[in-house]
Amino acid sequence: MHAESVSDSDARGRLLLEMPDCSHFDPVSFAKLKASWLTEAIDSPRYHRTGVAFGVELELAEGASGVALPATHVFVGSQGTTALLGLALDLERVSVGAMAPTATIASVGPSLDLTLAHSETRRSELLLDIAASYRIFDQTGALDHRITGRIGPSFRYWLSPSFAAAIGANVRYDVLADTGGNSRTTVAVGSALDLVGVF
Amino acid sequence: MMRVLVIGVVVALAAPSHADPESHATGAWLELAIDSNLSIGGIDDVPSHRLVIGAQTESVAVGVALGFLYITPAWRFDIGPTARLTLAATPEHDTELVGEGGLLVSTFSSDGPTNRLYTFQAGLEVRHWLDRHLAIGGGILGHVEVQSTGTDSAIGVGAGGAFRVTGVF
Repeated sequence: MHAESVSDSDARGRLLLEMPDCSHFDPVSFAKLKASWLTEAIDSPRYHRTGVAFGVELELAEGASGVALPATHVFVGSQGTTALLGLALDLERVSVGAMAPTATIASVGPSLDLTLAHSETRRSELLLDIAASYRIFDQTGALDHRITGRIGPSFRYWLSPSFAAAIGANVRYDVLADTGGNSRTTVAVGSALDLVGVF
Repeated sequence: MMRVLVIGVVVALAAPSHADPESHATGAWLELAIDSNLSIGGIDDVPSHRLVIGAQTESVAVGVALGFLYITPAWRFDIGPTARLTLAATPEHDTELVGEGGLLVSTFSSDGPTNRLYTFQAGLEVRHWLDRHLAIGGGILGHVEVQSTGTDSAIGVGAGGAFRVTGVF
């Protein structure tokens, strides 16, 4: 007698638990099941969850406008199949001018992480990170405006479908103008560590 | 008979993990944290290191934080209560959005007696449980520092990133 011949599912379950020998190994069915599972895994559009994303990024930049301490970028957005689009709050330490050598600046702006390539399991991804921000607060009040753009690649690994860590590099471009009418632009290279959760 | 017994044991061992929706253990809570701090006004631009010891339940953790700061040329120890509250979690409960709050009081400084500092902290963190006992997380933390100098007091404000490793045993 084989378990497959028992139509009642509860009775079949009890039979399988009490008499496992009733379940014979069918290599053809097993091969089909395995093949379909693999195809499903590879053809799946994503490994990770999609939804509301919350993340934090710690950035170290050299040669920028006096970034002496790690900058913090916090973002809230939407994680899709191939892109994460969000609004970021940036907290940075920058050089404003001769009268006020450094100041903490808060900026906000959009950020986009675009998946360029991924591994077979889709847990490892190569991203292109693009972000822009505009100053909304500076500690000294000496800044008239500051606009920052950042672009660069990063590697992201999904530790689970809802959480990922990424390490990346970027080139950043800053345009600053103080209230005295002096303006300048700077180009810098930075590196960043990201943690993101998707809910 | 032996086969039935083995299957029964396996089913019994597996049952609690299916019935229990929580992803992490509860019990003694240990956290190591590094907080960057950018001055917004009247506060030192120094990263702080913290060790937290306390108790973790399913959605709340409370404990005592021991803080260490190096402000050239001296170092300082702080101590105070701290708490974490899980605000949101994925269905698997392995990733959480956590709110944080605490108070640190300066206790000892290597350059001698100083005015007492009270630092209030509040923040938001995303935390991921790598297994039932270990989590990593990062977030943003705001600081309000009150320094009492006799009858006067000075207030400083700062904010920055926070990274931490959490263990529950």
